[in-house]
Parts: sequence; structure tokens; C-alpha cells
Amino acid sequence: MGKLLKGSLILFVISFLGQMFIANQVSVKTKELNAMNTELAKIRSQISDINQEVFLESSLAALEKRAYALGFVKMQGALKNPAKPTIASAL
Amino acid sequence: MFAQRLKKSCDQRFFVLRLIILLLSFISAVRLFQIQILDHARYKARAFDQYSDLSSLPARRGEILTADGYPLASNQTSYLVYAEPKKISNKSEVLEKISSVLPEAEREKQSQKMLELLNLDLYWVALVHNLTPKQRDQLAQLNIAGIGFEEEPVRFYPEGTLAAHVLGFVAEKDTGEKGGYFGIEAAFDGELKGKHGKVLEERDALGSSILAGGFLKVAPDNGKDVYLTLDRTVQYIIEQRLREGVEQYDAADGVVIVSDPLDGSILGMATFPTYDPSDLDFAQVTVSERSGRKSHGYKNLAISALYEPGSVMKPLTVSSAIDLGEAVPETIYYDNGPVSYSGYVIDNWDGKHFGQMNIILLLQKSNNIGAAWVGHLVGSERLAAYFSRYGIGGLSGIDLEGEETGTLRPYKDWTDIDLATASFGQGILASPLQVLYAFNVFANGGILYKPRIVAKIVSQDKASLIPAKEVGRVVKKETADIVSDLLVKAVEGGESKYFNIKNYVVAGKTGTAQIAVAGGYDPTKTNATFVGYLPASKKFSMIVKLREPQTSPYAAETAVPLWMTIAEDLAKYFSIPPDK
Repeated sequence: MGKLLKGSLILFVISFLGQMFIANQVSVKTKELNAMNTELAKIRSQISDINQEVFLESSLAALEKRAYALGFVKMQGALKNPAKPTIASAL
Repeated sequence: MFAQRLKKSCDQRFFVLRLIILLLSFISAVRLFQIQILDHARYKARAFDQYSDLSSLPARRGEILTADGYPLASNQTSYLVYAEPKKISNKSEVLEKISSVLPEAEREKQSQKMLELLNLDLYWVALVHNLTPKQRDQLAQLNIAGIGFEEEPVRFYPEGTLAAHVLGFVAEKDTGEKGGYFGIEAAFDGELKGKHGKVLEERDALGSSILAGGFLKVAPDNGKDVYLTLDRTVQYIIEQRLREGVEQYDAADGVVIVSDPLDGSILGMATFPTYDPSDLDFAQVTVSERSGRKSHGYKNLAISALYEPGSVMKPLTVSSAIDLGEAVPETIYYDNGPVSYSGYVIDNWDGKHFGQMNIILLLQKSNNIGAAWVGHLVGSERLAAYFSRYGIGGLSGIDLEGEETGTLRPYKDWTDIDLATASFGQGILASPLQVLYAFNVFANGGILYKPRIVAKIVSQDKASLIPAKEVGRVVKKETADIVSDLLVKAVEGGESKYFNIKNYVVAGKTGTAQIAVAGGYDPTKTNATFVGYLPASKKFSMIVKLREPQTSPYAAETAVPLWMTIAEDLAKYFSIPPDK
């Protein structure tokens, strides 16, 4: 009877400590998971921000502005028919 | 004796105590029975409410892209700043801090609005919408008590006003949910918006999710991406030129449409005045005014502004006569003065008369007398049938919200004067898009195509291509080719010759139609149209329509030079080699 009581007590203590350990681990992992989720949301938001910037920078209005700033001018004359190829160039 | 009495007294007390314990145990058992058995469902639900959290996973709204893959409508993450007024002690300090991250131009207006919101007797108020991630971070660093943030996806139009009337916009519906209005955003709202997902998870007292708890996730079904047939550069060119044209000729508004005549794809569609779909000011944009003339801001005038097209209908009348074998380009008629039909007199637009004429000259001089004569040669029934086959008087079926149905009265109701006026484009209503697609018939050998503005719809796992759709043959190929030649001659010898581009042969027709007012037509108010294409390359066809130009009422002096300028730009862009 005494042995059974002793065994049960040991089992109880082990399972209690085990549960405490698992609960602690779960709690730590939950915190880590929450932190990762927050980080993920932040990264997604940064991606969205960068995409927005890329779209704006590659919009035609922005490209035209940059082209003028770089010294490009609007084509004034008409397109010319390409010259007929010479025999040498045709070869 | 005393011991006996004491024992008896103790027994009695123990008995009472046992009785009380028994009674309490019984009551507890009954209560537990009630809680655990009888009210089981109610308590389970209350517990579930406490530890479970159901949150929505918003579906990403699909993007709208040009044919070459540039986004015209995308999404961006922005933030809502909310406040819990009851937790805020110093409201003016909070307002000052929030205002510090806002653009200077908005500060005063927003501060006033925020103050009103903070003074409301509420637990939660939405203070500022559309905060950028940067502004959110700046504000978060200030650690203001009683202030929080919520993510809110907003529609983002990277090209600003480009193709605004084609795209439409996204705004809140009556239900509070966001949805598309006008254009592609409305016509493809179902495909673009997708389906929201949800997450059901268990949370602890601090609101953190319990890793070992229950978890159920239904992933969102993101919206599909819609690829248009629009070419971004073409759209940019026509919008810039249209704005310049409307301002130069002081028109109330204007429309330019560029299409591929060989398959009906729309390469560009512009309306001016325009608006920025991401910066909506409903009060200002609903109706815009130019020189006292109103224009509906959100309406895509290319598909909704029905008008009497005028002389651009003459080639359609002529083509029906040629197709039926009733006339050839050299067929002679006489223009010896105004002609009377059903008691009404018809005259030419310039009052000039040329005696012996033929069909070539009819289109060159845009001769009303000749068009009415050809119309009577064809007859009401057959002319109405041809117009109908050209797509006049119905819907084109374009995949855009807001198309208006044209008007073509039943031929049985036509009198002689109705037939005569219909022959030169009065008394019928069509949209600029319908007129352009009728002209495409001449460019592509007699086929009417349905206007195609969506090229494909792409979801996560598949792409659905939208092919070009042939509505049917309108005239014989030979007829289309003859009319195409007539249109070249009309440009070379007609009123538009002064503005023709030098290096390209152009097929086209002007149309100056007076605008109907109460009791007749106002000669000072016209719709000026030019529609045409480059017959050698057939790379594009285009219509330019200006409403009420003030510098001149005539298309030859307004719509034509604008058309030629744009055509020159497009010829360079498409690298079309000169053909003359």
C-alpha cells in the first residue's frame, strides 16, 4: 500500500513538472510565433511600400520627367524609310 | 453523567454538521447538474466566446494591368489611426502629435475633424485614414496612449489619371464594403475582389494566440488580375494630346479612342476632363465645368456620350449603296441647290452647290444633298438594316460599366426627311466607340468586331484568355476596299487636306454635327469628329471627337489637326515606315 502511494506521488510530481515544462515551452514558442507574425506583417508592409515606390518611379509621367532632366528631347521629324540594303549588307 | 451529556451534545452537533454538509453537497450537486448538464450548451458557448477569436483574412483585390504588364491599378497597405477618447486626458497634445506626421496642407483640416471626433462620447473613433507605413512608424514611435492602428488595404493607381475613365474607381458601397464603380473596376468587380478567408484560433487572457489551442484557417481566395488590351504608351500619348487639343480649341470635353482595326482590340481610350481615381473629390469631379459648359467627370464619354455623328455617317450610307450594287464611285448625281423632303429643306453645310457630282466628290465635299440622294437610292429598310449591322443603334458589348445604347428608330417610322437626314448622320445617336468600330469595317475588309478591352484574366493557377470576337460580315470585301479608297480621296481632296500628315496616306472622314437644342439645332454648338486610319499599315484606327470647340465649329479645323498630330506620334511609336 505504502509503495503504491509512493509510486503515485512520484508519478504525480513528474507529470506536474512535465506539464509545467511543456506549458512553459508552449508559452515561449507562442511568444516567438507572435513576434514572427509581427515581423511578417512588417515585412509585407515594407514590400508593399517598395512596390508602390517602384510603380511610381516607373510610371510614364516619372519616366518622361527623368528623360527631360537627362537632356532627352521630343522627336520632331518624321520617321524615315530605312535605306535599301546594299548587296554587301544584304549578304 | 456530565461525560454522557457532553457526548450526546457532540453527537447532535456532528449530526447537524453532517446534515449541513450533506445539504451543501446536495445543493452543489444540483447546481453542478444544472451548469454542466442542463445549461451545458450556454456555458460552452460563453467559454468559447472568451477564448476563441475569429478574424477575417482580407482577400487581395486583383490588379488591373496594361497589355504589356504595367499596373494601372494595384493595392497598397495603408493604416487607419483610431482613438479611444475615454483613455485620452490631454486631447490637444494628442492632436498636435498626430498632426505632426501629416502633410502640411492637410494639417488644419484634419485637426479640426479629429477634434470633433475626440469630443464625441464614444469608446472608439476612426481618426485618420490612409496613413503610409512611414507615417505610421513615426506616429508609433511617439507612444501616444489611447491611440492605435489598423491595417486597411487601399486601391492605388500608380499612373495617376492615366486611363481613369477606363479603370473606374473603388469606394465604399451602402453595405460598408468596398466595391468598384464605373469602368473595369465595376464591370469586373466580382473577379477583382476575390473572397475573404478567416482564422478561428484560441487566445489567452492577454490576447496572444495559444499555440496548442484549436486552430482553423480558411485561406482567402485572392482577386484575379485583369490584363487590358490598352498599350500604356498609346494611352499616355493620346491623353496628353487630347488635353492639349481640348485646351487649344477650347472645347467643353473631348474623346480619343485608338483601336486595332484587324481584331477590335482597344489600344487607348481617353476622355478629357479627367480625374485621379485615388484622389476622389466627389463634389468636384461629378460635374466639371469648362468655360461654363458642364461635363460629367466620372462618365467615360467614349461609350456614354451619345451624339448625332453627322457626316462621318456618309461613308456608311455610301458603302450600303455600293454593296447593294446601287452605286459605284463614279455614279453621277446633280447638286443644283437645296432639296426639299417631306416639306423640309436640306442644304449643304457651306451652302455651296457644285452641279454634276459623283460619289468620290460626295465624300470629298461632304455633300449633304448627295448623301440624301444616295440614302433614297438605298431606301429606309435597307439603310436601317446596314446601319444596324454596323453596330449603330445598339450596344457594342464592350466590357466596361456605363455604356449607353445608341438610338436608331425603326425604319417603318422614317419619313423621307428622316431617311435623308439619317444618310448624313442626323436623327440617329451613336457613341464615339460605335462610330470608330463601324469605320474599322472598311479597314479590315468588311468585318465588324466586338470592342475588346480585356485581353486575359489571371488567377493564382490559371489564365483565361479573352479572344477577339467577330460580330459578323457587314459588307463584301470589295465594297470595304472601295470605300477605303474613297476615304483616302476624301482626306486628300477634302477640307482636312490642309492639316494632313506629310509622309503617310490617311483614310478618314470629318463630321461636324450641330447640337440639338430645344426647337432645332444651334449653329454655334457642334460636335467635331474625325475618324480614320493609315490604310497601308492598318496598325491602328482612331477617332477624335471634340464637343463645342470655340476656336472654330468645324471638325476640319479642330478634330482633324488633333487627329493628325496624334497619328504622327503613334506612327513614330509603332515605327510605321512612311508610305508616301
